[in-house]
Amino acid sequence: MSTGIVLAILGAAIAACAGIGSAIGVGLAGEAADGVMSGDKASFGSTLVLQALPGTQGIYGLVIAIMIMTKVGVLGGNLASVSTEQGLALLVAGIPIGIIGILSAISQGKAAAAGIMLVSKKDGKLGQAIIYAVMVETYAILAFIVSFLMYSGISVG
Amino acid sequence: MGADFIYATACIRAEECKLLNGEKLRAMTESKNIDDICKVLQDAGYGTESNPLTPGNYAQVLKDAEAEIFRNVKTLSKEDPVFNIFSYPSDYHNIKVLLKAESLGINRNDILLSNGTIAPEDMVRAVTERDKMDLTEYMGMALDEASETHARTKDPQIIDFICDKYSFMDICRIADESGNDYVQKYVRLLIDTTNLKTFARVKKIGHPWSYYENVFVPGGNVDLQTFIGAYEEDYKQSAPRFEAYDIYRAVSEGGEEIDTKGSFTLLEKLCDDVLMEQVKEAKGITFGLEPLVAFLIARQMEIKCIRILMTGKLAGMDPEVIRERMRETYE
Repeated sequence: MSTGIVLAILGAAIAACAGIGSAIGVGLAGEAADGVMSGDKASFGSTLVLQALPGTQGIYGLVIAIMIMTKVGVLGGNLASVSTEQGLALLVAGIPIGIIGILSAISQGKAAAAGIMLVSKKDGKLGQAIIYAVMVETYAILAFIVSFLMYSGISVG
Repeated sequence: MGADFIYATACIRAEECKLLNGEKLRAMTESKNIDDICKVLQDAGYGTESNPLTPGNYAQVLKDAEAEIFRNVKTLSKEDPVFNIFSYPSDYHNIKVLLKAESLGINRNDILLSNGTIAPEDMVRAVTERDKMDLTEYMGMALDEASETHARTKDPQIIDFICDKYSFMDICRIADESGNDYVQKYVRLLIDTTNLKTFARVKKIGHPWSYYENVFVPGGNVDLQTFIGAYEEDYKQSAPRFEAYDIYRAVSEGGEEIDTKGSFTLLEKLCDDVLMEQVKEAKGITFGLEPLVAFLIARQMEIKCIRILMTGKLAGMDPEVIRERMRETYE
């Protein structure tokens, strides 16, 4: 296996690390959801929607990771010929969604947890709570786009 | 950002909507039927099906509710030591009772409080045997100083002064150790309001200013010199001295009522209100210890309002008079 392939796989691993942030974010929102369920106002459905929001970063990371692995042939079984420079470029392509994914998912988890508390105090605030939490998603999407554009610009083989 | 307290804060936020707001309390003051008030309070969580709140048992129900709320919040905080600031006054109350009973040669263990950090039976042993093992350092110092000074002066009131001083020193210690700005600000303001209330009473009784020096609690925002400077003046003259502090309104408006009517009611209400204003800062804190502390104080203030309401209604007071005494609520 060439150094290029190893670097590309490392890039895929970095991209998949966005899942760390999602796990933390979903966990934070889940704790808040558990807490407010002790009251009477919050419903399971509304808290579940908010809890799920920080999970998307993990999906973006997974998509980039699969794309990188497919490009270098790790998933198909036929390893492509990847130079060290190409491998390094694929590694760098995994960084935006990897790092921004972690940080944005944690922040989104906190915003979602605060939204869950809002829903528990006032009726009819679910939409607003979702919008506040979704604002954080913008930056995860931007990172995903950057990673995707970098990935698209790299040709291997 | 207090992420450790997310679950606890969420539980508290869900409970906050059950707090009685000012409007509900005001409506209750207008109510002609005491049973209707009891029903509203029952719906708000005071009393149980097996032990409903009635005009006859409301004092005990409120006392039980206060103890239960404290236990629940402390458990939610994973027994955070900061909540000792609410328990130390009971410990010091027990020390005062035991020392005074000892000097009179009587037993008044029946009036010991059980919501302190030290169980009443342990406190009895600690005080009678002068065993300071279970006591905090300040409690030990209070015990020594109060018993020595009392033996010398034979003045039982000195026990109160010394114990109150050390009680606040323990509270300040906990606030400092917590490193929490919100708690520290609250404790400083609590000391200011306590000093102001003592100032008003000591002045009214006619004690000299040197007497006030002994009862002044250090650690607040307002220093002793400001109070001493205002001691010989009436409140209208002295109010500008307090302009830079949060207790200014309590001094100017509450003091004016003392000057004109000789009543402490407004001053005490305004002291509680300024504390509640400070407590409300926790609303802007998403997660952390602050919402827990704020909720506990909010509940305590609510219980105080209910006591004022029930006492007033049972005494047949005019709704307007009861409303004037109602405290600001956490809403």
